[in-house]
Amino acid sequence: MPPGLEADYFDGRSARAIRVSLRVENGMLRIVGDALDLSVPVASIDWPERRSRGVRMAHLKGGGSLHCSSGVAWDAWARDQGLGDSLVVRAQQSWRLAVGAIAALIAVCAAFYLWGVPVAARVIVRLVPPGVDARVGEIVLDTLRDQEIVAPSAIEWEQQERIRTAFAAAVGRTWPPGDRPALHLRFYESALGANALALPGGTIIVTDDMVRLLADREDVMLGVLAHEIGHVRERHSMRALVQVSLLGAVAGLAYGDYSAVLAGVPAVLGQMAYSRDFERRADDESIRLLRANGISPEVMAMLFQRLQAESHRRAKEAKHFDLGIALASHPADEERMRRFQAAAHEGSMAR
Amino acid sequence: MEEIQAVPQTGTSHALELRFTGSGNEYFRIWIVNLLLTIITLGLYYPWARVRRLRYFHGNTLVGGHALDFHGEPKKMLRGFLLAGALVLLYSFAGRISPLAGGVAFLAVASFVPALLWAALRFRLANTSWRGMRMRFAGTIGGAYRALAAAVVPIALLVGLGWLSGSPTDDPDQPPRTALAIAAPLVVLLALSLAPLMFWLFKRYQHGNLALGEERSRLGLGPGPFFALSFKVAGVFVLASLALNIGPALAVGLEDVRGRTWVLLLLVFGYLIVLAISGAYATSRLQNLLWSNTASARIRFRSALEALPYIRLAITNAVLVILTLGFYWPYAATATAKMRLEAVTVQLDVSPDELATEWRRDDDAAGDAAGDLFGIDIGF
Ligand SMILES: [Zn+2]
Repeated sequence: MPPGLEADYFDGRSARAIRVSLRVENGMLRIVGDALDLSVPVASIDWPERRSRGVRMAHLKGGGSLHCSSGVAWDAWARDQGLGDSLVVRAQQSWRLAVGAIAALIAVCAAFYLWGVPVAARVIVRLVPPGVDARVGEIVLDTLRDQEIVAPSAIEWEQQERIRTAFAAAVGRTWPPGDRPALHLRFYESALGANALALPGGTIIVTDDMVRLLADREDVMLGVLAHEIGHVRERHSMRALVQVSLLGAVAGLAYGDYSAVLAGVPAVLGQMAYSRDFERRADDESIRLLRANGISPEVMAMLFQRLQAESHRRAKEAKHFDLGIALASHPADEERMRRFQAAAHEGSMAR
Repeated sequence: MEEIQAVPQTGTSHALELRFTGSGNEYFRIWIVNLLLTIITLGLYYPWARVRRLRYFHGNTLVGGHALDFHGEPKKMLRGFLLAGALVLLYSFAGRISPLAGGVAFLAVASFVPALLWAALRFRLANTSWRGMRMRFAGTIGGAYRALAAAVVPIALLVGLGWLSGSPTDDPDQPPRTALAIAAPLVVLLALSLAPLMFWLFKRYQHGNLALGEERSRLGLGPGPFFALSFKVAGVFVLASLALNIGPALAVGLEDVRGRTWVLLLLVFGYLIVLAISGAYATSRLQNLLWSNTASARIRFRSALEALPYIRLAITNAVLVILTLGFYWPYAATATAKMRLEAVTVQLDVSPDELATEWRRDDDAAGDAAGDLFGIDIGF
C-alpha cells in the first residue's frame, strides 16, 4: 500500500495541529494520526480547489479541517485518489480556457448591451403604470422650475395657440383617432437655448428660443414637435431611466467593490449610445408626420443649419462651455440630417 | 507542516509576520471565469464567485506561516444576497415613485442597517479561521444600534434641510427662504463635521469586538485622531485637485477647454487620479491608526503601511484599470492586498504554540449558527 499524504488535522476546538496521513478507501477518507483514526465519506468533505501555489485546506463536517502546506503534493495525491477537478477549476487554471472566458464574456456583454438592456427596459417600462410617468414628469418639471432652468414664456398667447392648433391638425392627419397621442404643449423661456424636450408622461416643452428660431417656418416646427411626440409615444425617457439603472447595477457588480466612480462610467457612456437610437426612432415619427402632411422631410435640414449657426453664435458670446455639444451632438447632427434627406428622396421616388 | 515562523523577541513577546502569496495572474483567471458565470446566471452565481474570491484571499494570507481560511457556504449566502438585493430594489423603486415613498423606504432600510451590519460582521468572522480555530465577532445587536444611533443626527439634519428647501412657499420673498439660504451651508458643514465622530463610533464597535478563543480586542483610541485625519485627507484632496485638475484647467483657460473633448476627458481622468491619491492616503493612514491601536489582553497589532508607496500603487492601479477597461482589476486587487497585509505584524505576549493549546472554542456555537442563519456578507 502506498504511503498516504502527510497533512495537519485540526479538530476545530483547539488550535493544536495533529500530524496525520490521508488515504482514500472505498469512497471513505481515512485520517490516521497520533491517537486518531477517522473515516469520513469523501462526498461529505468540502475539498479545496487546485491552484498554482499556496496551502490546501479541506473542511470536514462538524468543524474539523485538514491543512497541507504543500499544494503540489496535495494536488498529486488528489489526482492519484481519483478526486477530479470541476470544469470551473480547470478553467481557472488554464490560460487557454481563461482567454475563452474573456471572449465569451465580451460576447455576452455585447449582446447584453446591444439587445438585452433595451429589451429589458422596454419590458420593465411596460410593467410600470403610465401614472408613474406623469408623476416623474411633474417632478422633472418642478426641478427645472426650481433650478430656474425654465421660466414663464414671453411668447404671445396667440402665437402659442397658433402652433398648438397647427400641430393638433397635423397629428390628426398622421395617426388614426385611437392611436393619437395626447398633446400637452408648454412654452418656456429657458437657458437651454433653442430646444424641445419630451418629459415622461407626455408633456412637451418648447423653449422660446426655438419658437423664435422657427418663427417663419411652421413646417419645420411641426417636424420638431413630431420628433418629441415620437419620444412620448415610445416612453423614451422612462426607458432611459431604466437603462441607466440596469447598466449601473451590472457595472457595479463587476467593478463596484473596486471603485464606484469607475462603475458609473459604462452607464454614462452606454446611455449616450442608446439615446442616439432613441433620436433615430423619434426622427422616424417626425418623418411620418411630415409626409402625412405633404411636407418634404428635407425641410428639417433648415433646423440643423439654424441650430448650428445659433450654437456658434452662443459659443462666441457665452462664457460657459457646453459639454453636450462638445461631446456628442455634432457628428450625430450630420447623421440625422442625412436621414431626413434620404427620407425625402425615398418619398419622392415612391410618389 | 512548517514550524511557526515566530521571531522570538525580548522577554516573551513574539512577532508573527503577515505574508500574502496570491498572484495576479492566477486571480485574473479565477476572476474572469467567475465573472462570466455570474453574468450568464444573471447574478445567481455571485455567492459562489464571492466564496472563491474570499477563499483565495484568505488562503493566501499567512499569519505566522499559517493560512487563514474561509468557511462560508454559497447556498446560505445566496439567501442573504437575495434579501439584500430585494431591499436595494425596493428602495430604489420607492424613490422613483414619490419622494414620500422614498422617504418611508429610506427610514425602513435605515432602521435595518445596524442589524445587517451586525449580521455581516458576525458572519464574516464566524466563518474565518486560523489554525483550525474560528474567529468570532463578540458585538451585540444592541451595540450595533448604539454605535450607529448618533448617525441619526446628521441624517435628520440633511433630510430636514432637503424637506424644507423642497417644500413650496407661496411667497418667494418670505424671510424663511433667506434664513434657509444662510442656514443650509452651516447645516451641511455641521453634518459633515460630525462624520469623523460617527466613523469612530462604528470602528470602536467593529474593532472592539473581534474575538479569537479567550482573546477579545479593544480599540484604544478616542475620536480625536479621526478628526485630525479627516482634515489631512481633505488637505490632500485639495492639493491633488489643485495640481491635477484646477491648475491645468486654469492654465489651459476655460475658453479653450470648451469644445475640445480630449481636454475634458483628460480633466475627468485627472479627477479619477485625484480620487485615487486621496483615497489611498486615507486608507493607508486609517489602516495604521486602526490596527496599531487594536489589541486584546495578549495580542497586539502593528500596521506600518507607508503612504507614499501605497499612493504610487493606487495611481498605477487606477491608470491601468482605466486603460485596460477594467481587466487589470485582479492584478490591482492582489497587489493592493499584498501591500496592505504585509505592512501588518501581530505581536503575541506568549508563544504561539502555547496560546494555541489553551484556545478552546466555545461549545455553545451560537455565533456560528446566527451567522449561518443570516448568511449576509458585506465587504468591509
Ligand atoms: Zn430627441
